[in-house]
Amino acid sequence: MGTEKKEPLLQVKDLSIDFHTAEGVVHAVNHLSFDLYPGETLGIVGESGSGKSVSSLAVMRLIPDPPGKIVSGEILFHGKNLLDYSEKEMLKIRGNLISMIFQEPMTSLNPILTCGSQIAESLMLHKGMKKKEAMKAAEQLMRDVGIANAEKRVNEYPHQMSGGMKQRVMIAMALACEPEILFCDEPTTALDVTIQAQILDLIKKLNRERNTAIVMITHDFGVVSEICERVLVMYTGRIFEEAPSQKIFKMPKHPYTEGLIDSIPQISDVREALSTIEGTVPNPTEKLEGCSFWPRCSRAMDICKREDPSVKIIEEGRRVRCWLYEGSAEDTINPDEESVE
Amino acid sequence: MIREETARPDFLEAPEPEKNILLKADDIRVTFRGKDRKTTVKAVDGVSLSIHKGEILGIVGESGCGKSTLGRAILNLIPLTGGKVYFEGQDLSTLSKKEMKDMRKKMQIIFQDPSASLNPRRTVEQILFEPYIIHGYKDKNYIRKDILRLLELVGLAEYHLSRYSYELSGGQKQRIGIARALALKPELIICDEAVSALDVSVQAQVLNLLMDLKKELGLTYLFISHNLNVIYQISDRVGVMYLGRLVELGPYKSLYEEPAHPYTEALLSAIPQIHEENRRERIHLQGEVPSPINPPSGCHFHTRCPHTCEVCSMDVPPWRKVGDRHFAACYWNPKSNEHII
Repeated sequence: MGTEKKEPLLQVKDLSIDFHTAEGVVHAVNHLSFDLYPGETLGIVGESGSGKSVSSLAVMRLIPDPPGKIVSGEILFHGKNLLDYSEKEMLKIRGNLISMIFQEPMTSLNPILTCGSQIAESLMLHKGMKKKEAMKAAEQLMRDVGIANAEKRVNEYPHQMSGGMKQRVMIAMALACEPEILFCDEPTTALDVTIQAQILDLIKKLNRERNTAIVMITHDFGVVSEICERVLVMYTGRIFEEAPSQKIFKMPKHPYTEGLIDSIPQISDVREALSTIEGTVPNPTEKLEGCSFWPRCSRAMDICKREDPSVKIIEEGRRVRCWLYEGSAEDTINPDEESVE
Repeated sequence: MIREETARPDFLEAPEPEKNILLKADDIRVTFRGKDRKTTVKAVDGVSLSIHKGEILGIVGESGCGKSTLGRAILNLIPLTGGKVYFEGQDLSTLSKKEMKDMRKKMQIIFQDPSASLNPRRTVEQILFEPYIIHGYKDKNYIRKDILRLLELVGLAEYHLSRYSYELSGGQKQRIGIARALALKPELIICDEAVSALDVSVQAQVLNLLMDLKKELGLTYLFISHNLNVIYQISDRVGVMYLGRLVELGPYKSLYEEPAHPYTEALLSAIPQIHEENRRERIHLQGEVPSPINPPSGCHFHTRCPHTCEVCSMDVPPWRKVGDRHFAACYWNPKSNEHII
């Protein structure tokens, strides 16, 4: 899929989000910038606490304030800043042009409404359909996402469905208004591996047939590799590396990405002890000097402990935030002023 | 004719002398009764296996297949409905309460959720003291010295003793869980999804720790997980479970390279792989795992099996030897693509 000449559908620029907690301020997202093009599949990978889910919630304007606060940045959707929208205007975007599915289909569906009426709700709200018409459309959507006996199941309640079926209902709901962007936040983490395969195939099919842009947020590199064309690796609320997905798995550039990939057990011919990344993700309230990864980095240099590296574009479509790829210490760009392109 | 099942893969032949067998489960069954006292769930439905000294036996399966129940039943934490468990040749069902308590020293368990399995109101020191107190150790100095030995084994330091579990990271908590399991110098450890709740980088650390401890202390593991990559990484032999029954059992390499049961084959094909060259042609299983309350007749898998034939719905397939120490409970022969009846 050529992404060169198209206008980006979504541009996140220099986004920073803080959470005010009893233990102090957590900088959940720090100067995050990325683009998403129409019909593209983008993966955002990171361990827990990397800020990947918070970033997607911010695009949907779903960060609870307080305790969360967007302290800087812009989120441009078709060139317009979503952060300037009123709540009323956001309602027209959310679930309509930008949709989201979550990890827990069990807790994301309303237990006292039938699945069909939950799907129909957004059609009535955004498309002005009458109840009867919307229910008919809901039934068709359920069929589209592979629910057998849709005419019967449209009147069933979430508790009557299995986890995989509930996730299909969630997807049908998210797709009802044919959104341009679908955020998938760990959509298969709670599912069994054979059901996960079915859901991933469904998401791939939707992307192909409807040209919906997919943002896949996950901790699972395998899922990213199967679904995504481009990958962002996040750590401590920052993008550490961006690359086309075929390249990042063959040749990771950032020591963190490399460490992460090496620590995943692979089913391959030779079985060896896993390489690991020392230590754990730092406490988010702690303020670290320098690069946030240096205490765990096997290739940390003196400068890493003093200064935060800037983002370097090392080749077309690849950027890395690491001192290893810095020409020299002098040409440091202030990370606050970094730009995407 | 409904044939009685003969689920004794390990006993078809005895490749190694019996005295090497640490634990033997003979046709064990666990049935749970529903609230209405009428419905029953056969969580474990006639599983036989043996674990040799120093071996790691991996048990893999999807949610609801009975793998955790199997682990607990072996430890006598859940009463057996049928069958026998032998530890070092001794039938556990014949032991008195006191004898069983002594026996428990030799068999320990590590749970999935390290936060839920540590008491939040106790310090690490109190948590680690407990097994010694329960088993009647009096000498506080000895216990303290032994606890320090444990901490060193699992890669923690003395200052962690005064911490509460909420002050520790997920990986550290799991290390405490491991230390506690090691306190009484057990021979067998059942790891029930012991690394499933951890981030990949930490998961790799804990997996390596478990491998090192095994070598250092000569431990034997029954390693239960839904993660096929993790199972491949750690196991000597692997058992695959489906709806309460073991369907395939064999050395890890031949089971992953030449799966003989269609369910194993489908499971392996469903894992999202990072590297394209490791991907297998995906086998799409129809539908979902049937309810264990009313499982299908004959082979439980026949409703979803791509190779099902008439006999599969009538009889439980007997165990068939498919390779060196490798058995499958299936009528279909993948090599000749025929059913062996």
